[in-house]
Amino acid sequence: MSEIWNDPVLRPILAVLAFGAVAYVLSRATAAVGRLLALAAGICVIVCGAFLAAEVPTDCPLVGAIAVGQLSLPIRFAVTHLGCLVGIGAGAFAVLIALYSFRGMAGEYWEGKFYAYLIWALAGACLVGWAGSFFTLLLGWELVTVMLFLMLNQGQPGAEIGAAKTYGVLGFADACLLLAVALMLSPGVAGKLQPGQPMYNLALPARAAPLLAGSLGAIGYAIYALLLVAALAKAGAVPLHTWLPAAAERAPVSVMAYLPAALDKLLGIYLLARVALDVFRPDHTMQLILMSIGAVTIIAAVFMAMMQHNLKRLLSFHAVSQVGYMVLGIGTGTALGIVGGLFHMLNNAIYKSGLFLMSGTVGRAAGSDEIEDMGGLARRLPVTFVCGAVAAAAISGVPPFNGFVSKWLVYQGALSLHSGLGAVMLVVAVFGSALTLASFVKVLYSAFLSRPPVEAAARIAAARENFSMAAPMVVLAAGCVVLGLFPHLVVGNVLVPAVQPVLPKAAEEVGSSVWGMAGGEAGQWSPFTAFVLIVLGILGGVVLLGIFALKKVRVVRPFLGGELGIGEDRYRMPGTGFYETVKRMPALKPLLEHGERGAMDLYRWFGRYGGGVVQTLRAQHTGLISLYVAWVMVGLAAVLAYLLMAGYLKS
Amino acid sequence: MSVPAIILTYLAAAAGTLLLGLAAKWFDRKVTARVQYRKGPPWYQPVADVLKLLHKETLVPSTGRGAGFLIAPAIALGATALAAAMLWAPLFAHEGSFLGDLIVVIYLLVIPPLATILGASASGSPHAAVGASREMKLILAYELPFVLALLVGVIHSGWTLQLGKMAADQQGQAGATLYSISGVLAMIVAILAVQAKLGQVPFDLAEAECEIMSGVFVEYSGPPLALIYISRAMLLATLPLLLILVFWGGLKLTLTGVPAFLGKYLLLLTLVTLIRNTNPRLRIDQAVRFFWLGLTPLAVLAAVLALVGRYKGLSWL
Repeated sequence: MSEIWNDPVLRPILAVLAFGAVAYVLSRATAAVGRLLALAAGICVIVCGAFLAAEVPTDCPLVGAIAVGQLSLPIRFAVTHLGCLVGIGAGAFAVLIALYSFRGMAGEYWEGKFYAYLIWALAGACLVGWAGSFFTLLLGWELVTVMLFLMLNQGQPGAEIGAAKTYGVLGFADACLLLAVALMLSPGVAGKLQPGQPMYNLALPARAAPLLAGSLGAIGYAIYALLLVAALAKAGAVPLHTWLPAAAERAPVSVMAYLPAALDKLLGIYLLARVALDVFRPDHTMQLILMSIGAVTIIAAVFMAMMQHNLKRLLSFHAVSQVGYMVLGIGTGTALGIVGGLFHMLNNAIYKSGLFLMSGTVGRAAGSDEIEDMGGLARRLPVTFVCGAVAAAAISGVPPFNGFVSKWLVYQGALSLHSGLGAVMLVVAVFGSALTLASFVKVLYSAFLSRPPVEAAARIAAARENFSMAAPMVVLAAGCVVLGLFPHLVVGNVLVPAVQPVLPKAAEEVGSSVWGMAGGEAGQWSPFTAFVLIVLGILGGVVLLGIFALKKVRVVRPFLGGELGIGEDRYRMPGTGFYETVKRMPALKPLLEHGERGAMDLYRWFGRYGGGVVQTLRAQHTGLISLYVAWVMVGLAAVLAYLLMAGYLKS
Repeated sequence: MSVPAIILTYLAAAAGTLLLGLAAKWFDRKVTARVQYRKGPPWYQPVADVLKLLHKETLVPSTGRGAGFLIAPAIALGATALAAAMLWAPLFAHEGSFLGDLIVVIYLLVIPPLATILGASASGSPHAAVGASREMKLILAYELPFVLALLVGVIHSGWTLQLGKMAADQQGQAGATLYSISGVLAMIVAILAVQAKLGQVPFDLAEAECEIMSGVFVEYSGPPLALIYISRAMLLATLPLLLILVFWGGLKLTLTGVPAFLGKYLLLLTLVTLIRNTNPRLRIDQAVRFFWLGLTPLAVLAAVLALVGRYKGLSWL
């Protein structure tokens, strides 16, 4: 037992699990303990993660094994660059979301339990991040899914529908992961593996030579496909994305910002990257499939997002769309693309989490999540506005924020394939980012800059900033700026070493574009210099304005073609009408309508046709004993026929 | 290059672009006047306009967010200046560009219209809001064919996203991208996209004086309007540079190269002016349809031709 407690990876995880248990036990009595424990758990993970990160990559010794019949399922850990990024990132998000929830979740009947779930989800994320065997990974993966379900289930009335859908899709994904793990143990695979190789006795080692998927035959491809489904569903790529918008509408914003926006992205893309880097070396077909999934995800989801009028739903579609960039980047198989995709994973978690928090603050102030009910909040919530604008610029890839750097790496990765396909991907990705910008222009306009509707005006005028809700947003917005200006902090220190063993030219390729980011040497892009220059330009304009404009300022009534009544709703232009023209475009209209009705929703298709099968079967239950006997006879005959044909009954 | 040197280069490029932009504005007005059988303004008219605006009082709408409303033109100016500097650098020295700077320029060029949209939104005027929504839709409309067209240049110069290398490649054996079928098609698409980026007729729907009373700019006056005027002028001076770098061989610092560059530059400027003087304004749905259903297939065709040409070694394709 003491050995288990001495394991440097298991120790923090066990501690976090214990924190969660304490928070759960005390949840009925007081939520205050839960708050503190959530902060403590997050900080504990960050600190322990930092210590672990000092010695990467390391394969830890076997912690223990769970015996199931003849099978022995190993629990072991491995400390990798990516794992530390996921672990420390999850800890940081836990701290920020817990802080936001001090106010954001205050007064909810399940506030105490929320912190317990939050802490346990953090433990699950750490298990995944530092997993050294697929079984450990599976344990953490399941833990996070269950916590997500429990948290989503508690939102506004009607939240259970979204929660059930989430559990349906993610449960399917988890089943795929389980099946993949089971296949790894099958004789056809296990017999071909050597000790030290990935998947040998479920190992997921820190330093592995990836296998060629083809070397295991068809079963190798099956395992790869199952792992892919698990990773993509968790991250939320098309067509396994529909749980996100379904859950977003009624779930508490703290939950959305913590799990689907941050942790699930980190975990899903982490698995995708580990599979691509450490388990299977993707071949050309796989790259093609991944890149296509990425491109479709980017464009389909962003069009859907643009048409949404519910702020949380809109954000959830963007949470889907951004996954496309990561999948696309990793799918290129080039060092630039993979590093870009992984960097985008982190960046997306930062700004998307910030945007969800922004939507929570805004929704609270306006009393509604519909953007037509909002307006004029820039005056009341200036900090939220600035943070929201920074995050919106970052997600749209406006330089010099972090989203731009990672997208820029992904674009270069796609183009370095020197093929028509890479070019198509590049165009799709750039266009997707223009569409992203468009939908955030709508959000910023509607929520912050447009005039509020008359009936909501009094409520909006009373809105005030609150420290515990604003501080996490400020931290996340600062993250967008810092990672945008100094991307080498993560790219150079974490991501390049992570891909270096598999793609030896990574340092050279990425270095030729990213090392320069540090110093701004000639011939290389320095975001910091660019930032200084752009600020210089803006300052020039401001100085001009200061000299001339602020001398004589007069506040006037805006021009309405001679009409009065600017305060009235008839002169208010809500943001909902911004893209009606685009919506009515000949080719797009039917597509968008089908999309809105769930044409891309696998869950719905399964529901419809699965329901049909169930109804057919149910119709057979007539209660007539003779019918049941007839079915039994038919079944018996079928079994006999199979056994005869298979040659079991010869003797 | 050290940081002070970079800053000096940038300031020189910004100032140069400003002067060139005002000259281009004058050129535009003069050509317009000639088309309309008028004499046109004297050469210093744009400068006089800016100076006059700078000394007017600043009107701020009561419904607006003052800070956002006033700072938006400054943001547009900063981004335009940086984009201009990043285009001048590879023109004069091919080493003046860095890996992937084409993408940075594309993104920087989105910031001025974005600032316009935010400024318009912050004014609280319904006319400006209509204008802002049109401006955003216009960005969506032209961005797709524009990127596709630039891609043709990228393919022609051997898959590089570096402007300096693109220019160097075109000055070498391969010749300018424009001197090929795909290059011509791409150039046509790009010029029309540039027309929209500049907010010139037939794509001036965000302003549309006679419909929504200058739309995005309806509440601007005095010095902030002067800033908008300046950044628009700089954009007018900058965008032909991008076209020349990507499609038309950049600038060769030789006895024949410099006049050739000037000729190309003036030709592009004249073309933009002539298009604006000979076409009526489109409706927003027509504009979106024009770019997505008209120009995008054309740009795709150009890209496919360029790809085929690249693989088969047919540089004329």
